[in-house]
Amino acid sequence: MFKNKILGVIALSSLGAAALAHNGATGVVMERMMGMSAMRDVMKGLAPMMQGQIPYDEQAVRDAAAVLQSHASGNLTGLFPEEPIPATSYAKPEIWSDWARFEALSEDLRIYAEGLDISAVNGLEAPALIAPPALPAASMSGMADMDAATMPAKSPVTTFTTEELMGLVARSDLTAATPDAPTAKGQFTGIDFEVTAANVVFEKISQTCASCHSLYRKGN
Amino acid sequence: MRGLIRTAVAVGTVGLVGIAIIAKWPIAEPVHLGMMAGDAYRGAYLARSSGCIACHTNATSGGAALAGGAPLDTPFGSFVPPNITPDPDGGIGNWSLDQFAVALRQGVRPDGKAYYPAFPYEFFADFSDQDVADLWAAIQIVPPVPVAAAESDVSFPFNLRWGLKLWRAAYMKPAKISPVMGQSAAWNRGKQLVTGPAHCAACHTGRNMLGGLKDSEALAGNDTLPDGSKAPPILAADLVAKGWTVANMAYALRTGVMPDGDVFGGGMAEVVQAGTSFMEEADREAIATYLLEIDGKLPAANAAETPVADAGMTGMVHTPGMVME
Repeated sequence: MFKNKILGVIALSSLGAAALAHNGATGVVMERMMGMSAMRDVMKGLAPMMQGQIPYDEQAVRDAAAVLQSHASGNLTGLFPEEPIPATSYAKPEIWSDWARFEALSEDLRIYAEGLDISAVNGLEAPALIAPPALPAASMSGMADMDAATMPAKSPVTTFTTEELMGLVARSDLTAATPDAPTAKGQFTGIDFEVTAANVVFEKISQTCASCHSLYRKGN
Repeated sequence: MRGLIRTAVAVGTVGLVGIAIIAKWPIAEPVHLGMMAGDAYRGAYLARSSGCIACHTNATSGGAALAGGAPLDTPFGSFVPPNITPDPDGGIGNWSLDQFAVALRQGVRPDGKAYYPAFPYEFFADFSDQDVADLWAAIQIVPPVPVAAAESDVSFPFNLRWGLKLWRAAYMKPAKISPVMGQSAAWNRGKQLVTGPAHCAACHTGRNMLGGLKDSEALAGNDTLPDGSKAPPILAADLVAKGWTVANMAYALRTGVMPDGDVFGGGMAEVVQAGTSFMEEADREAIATYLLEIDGKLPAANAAETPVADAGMTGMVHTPGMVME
């Protein structure tokens, strides 16, 4: 009983804090805020686990993946009807002027959240069989790249080539999820979730969040 | 009445002469690097860490590397990061290494005019000659783009470049970075990165009405960033209060995930995506080590889980400048 009260107070106060942050958000803005907060909470729980700071819990990872899936793709984009942005919202108008990219990122989130569910069983140790990047002929640090491709996924260390650092070629550690349709369960372009460490997939999710936030969210 | 006119003419003449003198006032210190050889890989790592790639490339609109960045809208006007590809017409292909060094470290163009501080040259002032040569070598591998970036659109009176010389005299603070004895290699490396190339203070330190950085508010946050967003304080006490540790900050600088589970957006997401996520892990840990230091020591709660970075290792691979002597 006492515990319930405490939980209630915590829930109310965090709701209050969130509502305060959005300064009286209502309607669809409130719904978006709740969805984003739910995702933030599962990310908070997963981050220390994915860094190996707390024990890995496969079921917790799968539960979190389910929450992320439930807020991704159409469930996410559906909460952004094109309408004047109220002052309470953090949404940027680029969401609607750049809808295809917004939709693609929402879809990336779904794919990676599904991938997290698949890779959860692997924990932090599975070797990442991501296709080794094609080495540019002029690369001065090709050896370092080969090391990165064959390294266990626990600490996804990547050394970038001169061309990657200068922005001349796309970085080899980021593979877009959406361009091609999945060929089989867990098989997507460039990443096979069944043999990928969960933390690698988790980082794909965080990169997707960051891409979306940087383009479409006001403030940091 | 006649006296009044005379006075006005005299004041006007003095003013014009003053402006003429200021306009002629040479501000660049001569540099003689000659044909110093650079290492393109080291230069590329430094260019990435310093935000050159992020700022001078308009990635959002699919622009070519270093061919000119997205406009930076500020209260003074809209600044367009120029094309710095090695094209002689569109870019900086007809510059000498010495001119490049003066531009980068002193903020002065080859024609002797000053850059606006939207270009954070103050933070690059302590780059070594070798750093400059390395950056120059890295720029040479970029495909030249013959089209110059759009002109900046700066409002009056800020569009009068001679006024920048006064600004420099009043506010310019060239970074001078020296290692602190008794601090770890990681801490000193972090100090070097934070104060120099990574130019954290450009956003996280408040600015005065004329865009000068406020010493008294170093890294204490800035609520008035050009895009209307806020940069939070990144002083140790603030960071520790928000749950930051060396480990989770290094992780955030790679992945964007903050200790509360939120993921960076806005300018900081760009900093991570186009900058710190490319760094060596030891460098991210060094930045965190430096920022989280309190009175020369990490807070006890953090120290236990902090794998102290051996920045010396990274430094051996590619020390982007300001070699610790």
